[in-house]
Amino acid sequence: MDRRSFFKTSGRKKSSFRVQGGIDPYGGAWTRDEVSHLLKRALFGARETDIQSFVSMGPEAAIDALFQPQPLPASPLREYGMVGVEGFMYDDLGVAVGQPWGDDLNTASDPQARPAINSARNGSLIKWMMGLMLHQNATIHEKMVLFMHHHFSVQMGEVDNATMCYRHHMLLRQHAVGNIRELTRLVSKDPAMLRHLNGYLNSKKAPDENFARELQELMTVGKGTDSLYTENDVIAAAKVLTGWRIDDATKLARFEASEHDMSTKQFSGFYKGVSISAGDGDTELAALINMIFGVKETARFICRKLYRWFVYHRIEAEVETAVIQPLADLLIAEDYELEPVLKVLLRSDHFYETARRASYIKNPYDFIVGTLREFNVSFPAMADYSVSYNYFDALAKQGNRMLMGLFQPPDVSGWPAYYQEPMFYEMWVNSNSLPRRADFVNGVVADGVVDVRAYANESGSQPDARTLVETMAGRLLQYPLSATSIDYIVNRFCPSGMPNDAQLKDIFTFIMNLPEYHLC
Amino acid sequence: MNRRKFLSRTVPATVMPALLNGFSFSAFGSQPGSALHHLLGPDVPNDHILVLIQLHGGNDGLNTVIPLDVYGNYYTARANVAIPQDRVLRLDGTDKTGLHPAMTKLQTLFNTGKANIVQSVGYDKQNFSHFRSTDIWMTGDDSNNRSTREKRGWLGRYLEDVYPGYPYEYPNSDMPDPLAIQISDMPTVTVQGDVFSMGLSITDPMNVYSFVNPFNDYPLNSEDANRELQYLRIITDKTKVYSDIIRAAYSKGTNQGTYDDTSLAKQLAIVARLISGGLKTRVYTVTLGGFDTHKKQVNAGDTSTGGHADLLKSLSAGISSFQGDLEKQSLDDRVLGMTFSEFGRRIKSNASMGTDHGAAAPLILFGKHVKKGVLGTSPDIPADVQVVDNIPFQYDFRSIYATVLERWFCVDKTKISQLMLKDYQSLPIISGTPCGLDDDIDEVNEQADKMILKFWPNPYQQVATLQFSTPGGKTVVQQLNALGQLVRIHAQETYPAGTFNIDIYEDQLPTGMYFIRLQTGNLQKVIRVIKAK
Repeated sequence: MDRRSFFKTSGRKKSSFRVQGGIDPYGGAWTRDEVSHLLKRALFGARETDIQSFVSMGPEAAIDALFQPQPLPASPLREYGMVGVEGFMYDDLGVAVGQPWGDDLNTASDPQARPAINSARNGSLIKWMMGLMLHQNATIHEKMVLFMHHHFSVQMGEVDNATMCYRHHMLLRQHAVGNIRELTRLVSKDPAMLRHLNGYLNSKKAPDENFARELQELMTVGKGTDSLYTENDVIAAAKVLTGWRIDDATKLARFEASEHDMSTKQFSGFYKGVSISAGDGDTELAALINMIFGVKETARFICRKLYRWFVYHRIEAEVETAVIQPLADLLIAEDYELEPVLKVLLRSDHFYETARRASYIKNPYDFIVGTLREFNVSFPAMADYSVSYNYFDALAKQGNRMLMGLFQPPDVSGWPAYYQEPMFYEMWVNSNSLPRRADFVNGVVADGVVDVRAYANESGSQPDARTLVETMAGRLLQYPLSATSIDYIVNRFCPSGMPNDAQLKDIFTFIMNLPEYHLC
Repeated sequence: MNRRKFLSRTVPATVMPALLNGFSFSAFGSQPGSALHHLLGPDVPNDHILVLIQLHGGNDGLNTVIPLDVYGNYYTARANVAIPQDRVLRLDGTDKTGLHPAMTKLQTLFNTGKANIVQSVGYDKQNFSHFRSTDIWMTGDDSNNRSTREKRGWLGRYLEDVYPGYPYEYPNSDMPDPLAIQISDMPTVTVQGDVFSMGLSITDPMNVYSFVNPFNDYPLNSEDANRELQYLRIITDKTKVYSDIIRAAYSKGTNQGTYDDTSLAKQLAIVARLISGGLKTRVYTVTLGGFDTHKKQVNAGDTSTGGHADLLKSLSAGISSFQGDLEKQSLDDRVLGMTFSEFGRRIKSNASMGTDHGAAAPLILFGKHVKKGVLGTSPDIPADVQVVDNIPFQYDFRSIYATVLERWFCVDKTKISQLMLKDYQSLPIISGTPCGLDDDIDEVNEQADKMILKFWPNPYQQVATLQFSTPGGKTVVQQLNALGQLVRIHAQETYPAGTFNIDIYEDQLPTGMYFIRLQTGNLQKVIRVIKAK
């Protein structure tokens, strides 16, 4: 199978215009090239076995397979031992080692030790999230969970409560490919979000506009040219949201009517002049969310965000017309269910055009988890906490070093690689993070964490060194190498025939350090 | 075209005086903002180096620089963490303040004129979040409007201005080295430019990177993919080139003298060795963490020991080793150091032997060219200090940045207000450089002492009179609340020299403690007033 020949022949039109196809189903060849493009975008990395099985399924069944419902994972486990506080050691009396801590409110232990226990649990939560990505099945869910984490960006340090962070994360997970309007409504009164954006301080006497503003600017209608909400809309939304508090005993949200603004909240013409009259917290919240999702710009804004997450960061006028607009119409027609919209996007003509291939700079988890999964590195089970969480920890720290700490997005806008003009994805790779990526690749190859021989063997026996190099480069890189480049590698690393194990490692290290390896 | 290049190519050095109507260079040297400076600056890179030490977590200024002139109130406010008066290290030329007993090395630097202190540095709408306040200190923009506020760092803006087009045509003969080096895992906002970071983060200068970029063809017919590949190839090239430059300089450089085995000392040793190795890099940043001392900041038995004391010792010894290293290698002429922290801590201590997030705090500058002394007065600590009371700022941190740009990087005044987004006063904290002014800190303090700032009656209810004097020029009189946040501006305009009264009627502020802050030129004064029922 020659990747280059694919790119020569399968482009449907030879024009170099960026935008050709729209959201009609892709009708071209369904080969490992299309499948690996799909899987590298929708998952973290594409495994050889998955590529083969998705090729055999054909496009329709392949897309369906990506959306196979996934059970919710069990709570993170206590993997930490006793915690040290100023020279004294304390046990977590609420949860025994190896037991789930997610819903334990950390009230059983010595008050002196609770902050340290909370920190240990925060660490445990991040390791667990890392483990879930590494152990993902061949479905879109983990990629969408990370999307939601970006979209409803919450920082662990600000929330300062591991159970609230865990519940917040489970909420995102539960609705990751579900109804975005419903998820937005639930996040609006989620304790972690109430804490992160000051909702818990929002009262009729001192309205706090923080969440009301971000809800509109970052989560729904956005700041595009067609988003015309006013400063008064922010104030009115803040009033609607007054009174939500975090119950001290349960750490769940509760509505405190005495803190709620009972006036009628009047919105601008952008929201069709809706007014929300005094009611209980849930009724007013639902009315607010329905009002915001009643504006078409909300559907467009969400579709743009999904497009940037899965396809490319630039959205030119043609893409807006041919892709975003019809997807937004579909999102509205489907009552804000994400699954049908994602399926159409990932099956579209547009998605499979040559112009869409290899233009996506891998985020740190595409890079870390993708590499490890593609080499079939097998990690101990989630339940085997005393071993597995150590690996998850090491890899989560790699994610941090490469600028994408879990539960530590730089601010409420999420990761700038998905919104910051003009660089977008390019922000992932700078002179600070590139060496970290290189260290990671060099380490996993040199230390034998990834078995390059086994990876090569997955492609069967190869007639000669050149074919071997070409096949490996074709699998590792979405961006094809020219024949001259393949010759360069052969001449440099295995000029006298099939590479031995040491030479093979050198070949992999070389290819995985190429700028091309950061693209998928 | 780079202006220096232009000048060196078109104007022989000997022609310069004629061009400037016969004035000699030295005559202009003491006149920043003069014609010569306009001609040369700000595009003229000098070889001065700034080393920033970030004290992460919010340093407790009151236990770093102890106010001996209000020691009684200081002690009452924080008896459980207060440094015993007889243990405070004395400073030459002042009996009003002294240093934490762990800072003996810094005391020596101060007394030999190689370190100085600026009192109560902060800003007027104190944000108490670590994250936000760090951003404010790094960008110099405290605006609340997220979509319009400055995302570039203050030094990022400066470096981008001096080295336009970075990184594309760099390194080059004008700037053969990294513009800024951060000894850290991650780049910080301080050196962030419009698109690129102007700095490189390194943790191990000897790292050898294996990434290579031997190919330059673009075989895929995709505009987007090719654009991204081109970007990745540029970054790969630059990173490789700069890491080789750093490694070569580190191998060539040396350290003289000893450094303690602390994280900060190790970071500063790397910086000294890179400077010694010949790097022309303009800015280095290092970090010391652990200042978020909500509890157990001191040991119960001896408040001069404990976590905060260890940090201050590490800071003091680290600076001293670094300065000594540079002096032994005759590199101290080129280096200025400065500490900063996102905020100080509350005046009143808490029950956990610690202190909570506060407002203004002292800042330390060090190096051969700092002006000796303490700029500003001890914070005014009331006898009946409340939990929420904070130290109001005497000096805006951006005045210090502006001064560093003016007197250390020799930047033209007009350019400084562009880079700093507004006009900030220049402070007498740096001397003896080709671009420095020669104000004396003590003289300024004396002048400030003579300035009139009165407020009566005090306590007041709704009516009061405020009296202030000014030597003339732009004069600002502000009212800050107990948290150190600006609540009212009484005057903000250009006054002739003289003494002025402002009558206050129907004051609507809530009852409580306030500060009146007078600023004119580089002089300022703060007094405390009480609004009663």
